Amino acid sequence: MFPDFAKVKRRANRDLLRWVETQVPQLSPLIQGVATLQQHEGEIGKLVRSDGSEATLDYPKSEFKLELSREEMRRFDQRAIQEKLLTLAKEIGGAQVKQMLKVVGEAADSVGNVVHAGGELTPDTFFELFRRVQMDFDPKTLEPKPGLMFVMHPDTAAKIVPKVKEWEKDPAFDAEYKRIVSQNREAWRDREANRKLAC
Amino acid sequence: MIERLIENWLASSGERGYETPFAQVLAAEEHRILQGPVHHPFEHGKDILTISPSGELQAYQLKGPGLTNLEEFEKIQAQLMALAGTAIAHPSVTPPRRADRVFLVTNATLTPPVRDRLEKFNAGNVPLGWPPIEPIEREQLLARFVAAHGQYLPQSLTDVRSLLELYYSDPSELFPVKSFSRFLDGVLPFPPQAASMPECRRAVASATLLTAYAASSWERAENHLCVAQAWLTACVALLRFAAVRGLGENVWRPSYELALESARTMIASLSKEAADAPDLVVPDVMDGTVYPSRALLICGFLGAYLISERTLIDADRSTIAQVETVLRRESKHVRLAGEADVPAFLMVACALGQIGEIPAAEGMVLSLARTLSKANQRHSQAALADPYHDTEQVLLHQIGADSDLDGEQFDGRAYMLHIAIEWLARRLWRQHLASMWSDITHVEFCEFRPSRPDCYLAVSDDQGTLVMWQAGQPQSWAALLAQARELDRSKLPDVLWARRELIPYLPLLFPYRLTSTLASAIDTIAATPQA
Repeated sequence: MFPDFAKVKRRANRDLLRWVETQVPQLSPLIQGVATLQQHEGEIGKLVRSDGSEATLDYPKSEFKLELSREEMRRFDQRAIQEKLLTLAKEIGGAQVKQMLKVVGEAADSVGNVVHAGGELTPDTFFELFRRVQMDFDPKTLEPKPGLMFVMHPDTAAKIVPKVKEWEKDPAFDAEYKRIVSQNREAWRDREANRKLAC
Repeated sequence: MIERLIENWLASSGERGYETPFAQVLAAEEHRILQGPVHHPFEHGKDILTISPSGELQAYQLKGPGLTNLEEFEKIQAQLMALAGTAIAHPSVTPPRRADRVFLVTNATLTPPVRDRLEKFNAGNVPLGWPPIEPIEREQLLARFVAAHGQYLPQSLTDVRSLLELYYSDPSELFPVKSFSRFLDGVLPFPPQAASMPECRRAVASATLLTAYAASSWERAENHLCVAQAWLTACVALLRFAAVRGLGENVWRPSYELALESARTMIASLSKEAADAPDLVVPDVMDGTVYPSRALLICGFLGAYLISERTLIDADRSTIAQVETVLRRESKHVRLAGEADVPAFLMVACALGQIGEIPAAEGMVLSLARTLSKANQRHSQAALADPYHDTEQVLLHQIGADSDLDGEQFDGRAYMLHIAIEWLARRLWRQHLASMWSDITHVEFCEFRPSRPDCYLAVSDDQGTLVMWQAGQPQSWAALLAQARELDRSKLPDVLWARRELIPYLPLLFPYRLTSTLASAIDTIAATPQA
């Protein structure tokens, strides 16, 4: 075995790993701002929702590969390594997004909080979506908090986004949208008022 | 290699350093220990009393490595006369009588003049009918220590290395509770390893002796708290081994009691040191950065001691008074660094409650609930690290050094908030909780629930479950109160209920084991210590 500088490498690897971890949410915006938790022992987590329903977190294993040739290891090129790591970060982010959407989809299905557009998105189904989404509001401005987003395939988005932009020009559409936001604001107020210790 | 370590340890230990291990050797040799190592004016030259396997009443006086010349021998002559000539008054010895055999134990090698003097001393006592004092010297001790381990000495090089690292540790460092616990788990033959009852007995004895070696660096430096942590870790490991193996008390109890007694002695020494000092300063320009954490660590153990001692019938009143002095003086200086500090914080509050400082106690837990409900809000930069990160790591992180916190987020959840809430609910602090409830609902509660009762005593549990939930919105006070008052005893191992004196110490060793159940158990034994 050749002599090594293991301490230096461990530290450099750690820093590199941290860098990859910061890249993942930047390359996969959908998981930006999503809280992360490290479970230190046990292989299973259990989430008890406020309605009493439970979800089991079994942490499915994901594997990713980073390959460097001996020559690449010999001639240290940080930029080249970072490029490879960016690809890796994108793969990790992609897997996390996929898993998140799967879990969210299953949770929505399990309580029936699903709107089927039936092939064509109409203003009615669009509003129905909005009605079913729990919105949070800024307590000072009472405006919706940022963070609400639609996730769709790029092909779908190419069809739908222009359509929605067209609908937005219609005052009736705008009025209905404001009415739903107002309803959601009242629902939010009710929820906030429920954050109390009662009898 | 381990034999060399034992030899080195034996040669460098003072009398106090090897007395508990020697008692353990006697227990492994199937003596019944009537009285473990004691040091008080009424010991009458007898540190240890036993009934030997052949039924003889035996008394032992232990001396350190300085006993090598006549001058030293003459200093202890009065003790030797008391050892051989005075009657033993003990509930197991009725009526009081002299020992059948008496021993002078030393980890020194006696010189010929000392041996000669001892022979003459014994010869002079024959007409009085006193038993001769039999010397046990270093070489004999070494052979008996090695034999006591049987096959249960660290076998793998990793374990040998762990032991050597502990043995040569810098005693100004904190005792590595978690890694020592893992080390003991490797020494004790837990299933699926097969072990007969005699093998289990031998392993228990070996674990106790290894604890003495592991803690010897801290012992020599008189770092009492760290030595106490080592013995308490051994107590926890022995109880878990007993629970998992279903061992009879006769197999583990003598070793457990020796380990517990050692821990109690060390905490008593700590309380004296802390009470006699004007403060808990370890002089250094930067001591202020760690003082609140040191105060919390010390006060936490002293608080646990106070609650634990009340469950025992032989609590030492003078030590309790010293503990009270320290708690009253230092509790205002404690500060939480991370959630790993919460068990110590709670223990200080419980202990203050026990000594009549109820407003201070409840004020502490109110501030704990308020801090966690504010600091651990989502997106908070001041969120306290979860209890899996030791205080030292949190402090390192705070000063920008490498730590095991790097890359983790702690905002939006807390492992200890619901425990503080339930503690306050049991004391009917409804209005204050109501004023905090909105903040509380924004913090997710976390609790790791061990897979089996015995896993409460384990340093880690792969089969347990991390449960996450949110406070009720709204939360019924009646339901909260009912939940806070509930204690499902079956969640904790029976062996722990049987040795309830260990309960207050458990979350100080493994902070992440402080669940609602354990916190409620601590409150229960504080309220009814002798039940």
